[in-house]
Amino acid sequence: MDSHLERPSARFPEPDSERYYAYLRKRQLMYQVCTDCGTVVFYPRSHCTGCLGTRLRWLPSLGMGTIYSHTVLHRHGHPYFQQKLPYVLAFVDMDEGFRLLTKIVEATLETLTVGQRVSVHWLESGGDWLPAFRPLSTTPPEGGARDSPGSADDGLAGAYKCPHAARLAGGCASRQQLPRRHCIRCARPRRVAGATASAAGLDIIGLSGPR
Amino acid sequence: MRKAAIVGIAEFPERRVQDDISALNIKASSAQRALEDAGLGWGDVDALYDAGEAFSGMSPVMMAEYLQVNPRVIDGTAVGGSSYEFHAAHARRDIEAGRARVALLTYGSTAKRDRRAIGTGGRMTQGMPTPSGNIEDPWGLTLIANYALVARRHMHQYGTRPEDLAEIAVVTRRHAMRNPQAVKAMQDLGFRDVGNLSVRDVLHSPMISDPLHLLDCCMISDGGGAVVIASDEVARETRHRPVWILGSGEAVGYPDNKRDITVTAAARSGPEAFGQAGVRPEEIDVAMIYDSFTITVLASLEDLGFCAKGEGGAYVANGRLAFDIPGGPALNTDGGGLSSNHPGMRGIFLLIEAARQLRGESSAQVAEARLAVVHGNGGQLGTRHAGATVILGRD
Repeated sequence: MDSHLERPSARFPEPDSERYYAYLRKRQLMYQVCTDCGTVVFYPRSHCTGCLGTRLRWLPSLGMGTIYSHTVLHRHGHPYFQQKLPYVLAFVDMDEGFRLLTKIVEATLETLTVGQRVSVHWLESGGDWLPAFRPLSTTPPEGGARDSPGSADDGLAGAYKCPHAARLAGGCASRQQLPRRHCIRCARPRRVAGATASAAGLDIIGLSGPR
Repeated sequence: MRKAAIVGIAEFPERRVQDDISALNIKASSAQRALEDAGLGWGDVDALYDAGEAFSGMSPVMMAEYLQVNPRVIDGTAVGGSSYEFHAAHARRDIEAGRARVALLTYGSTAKRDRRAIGTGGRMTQGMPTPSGNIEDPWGLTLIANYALVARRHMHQYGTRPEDLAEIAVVTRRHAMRNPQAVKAMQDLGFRDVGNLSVRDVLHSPMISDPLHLLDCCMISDGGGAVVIASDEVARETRHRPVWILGSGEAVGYPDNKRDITVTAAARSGPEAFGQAGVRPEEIDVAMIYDSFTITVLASLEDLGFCAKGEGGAYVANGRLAFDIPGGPALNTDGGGLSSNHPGMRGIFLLIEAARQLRGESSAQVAEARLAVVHGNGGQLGTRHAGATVILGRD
């Protein structure tokens, strides 16, 4: 039974995605190409969507792609994902020509943009490996500046933390700061996010931590 | 061609029901009132359309039994919130083909009472395993996040701003404040501030899934309604001015490896519907557009041809969509899903309010309203969704 505290996992039998997952377990991100017409087929299927052919080849992806769109989730109804908030999901256009819904880890305000180059970053999940992605050419944040617990599965490298967390007694543990003048949890005033954040239109996503 | 018309409408008055009312009760009560509104009875119904929200299977059959009607046509099209626009399109088709005279559409839901977390909920891992589900579910893509991906892409591609999306919430709330049922709904559902909104209010409401704030999202309520669509000879004998179905279009949208996700199914259903009706978007007085989220409205307005693709942000500025400001259609004059009601699949209310406008009965009445567009969007805009457009007009 699903305890709901665990990540929802793929369910089988489901023939189209079975082999895809078998590759994932070996940390291989694979996609299909029609041997008759060359159409890239993704998600996996047993038929070509470009011609009436059925001969599909599995090819390995190099694991490089570009963010097509992204969102930072701040609310979730599922207990597993709740504990991961905030985290980033994105469509990534892979260099081989398929588009994948995935999680972006280690994103910063500068790297979480449409057009950002990303590479695969494997996440373990209940014996499976899932293809998450991380921005290329990220400078890792310095030890002290990073306020996420540091799990590789954590979505945001710079999630904004309420500035009153450490400094005041009964400190606030909120890590989901919003574009307000005060913290939604402890109602104390917050510092305003940097100007670059506003310019990028990202001041509202709660990414602009003290970095 | 004026052969099928909306002749009866009913909106269930409660947005927050007690334990002694089921979705089925809401459907039946609304059906009874809509037939009464038309001056018809159960025995007149010969076509039944049902999206299956109250039964787990065989829903048109179960509904026929529950109401004890004997349809010659049944249709169980279930495509989320847009189901009722599909039903209206199908009812018109069936009536024009001479297969039916009186079509009944009903909807009922107790989503609020059942505490269904529709927008942020874990709808994952239900039903049969699917290839798309197996690939997407481990990431926990919520419904709101799905729409947020469209909004973010729209912002990147066209320079759309959060302020532009907020305009849609602002004008819709303004309309809601004129609708006593919407005001009562917001009070009953515990809205913190029941009053007009500013753009700033929207931008300062909690972020749910960037770039969508709480006030970019529809509410979750209980509720339901019913619509009766009849042939021209029946319509001319009913109590109210007939609201003719002049055109309709249907389409689906789904992910592929290259699709522009800012373009919705409306880009195909809209031109079809306008073309059939022989009407242009600039002639439209009232636009009832599914407002699950502000981005749904913005993208749909563009795809329906009210402005060029990508120019929705500029188009909705300065209250252009208000019922009393000329230069654009009045948007969601009942207060929409954002501020009046959203029990999960709101499509039927779009038809009901459009009919009110063309009868001259809206609480935000557009003077001399003659033409309305109704566009339903169901499913998830960033991935798989259905869209249907219906053009309505009065004599």
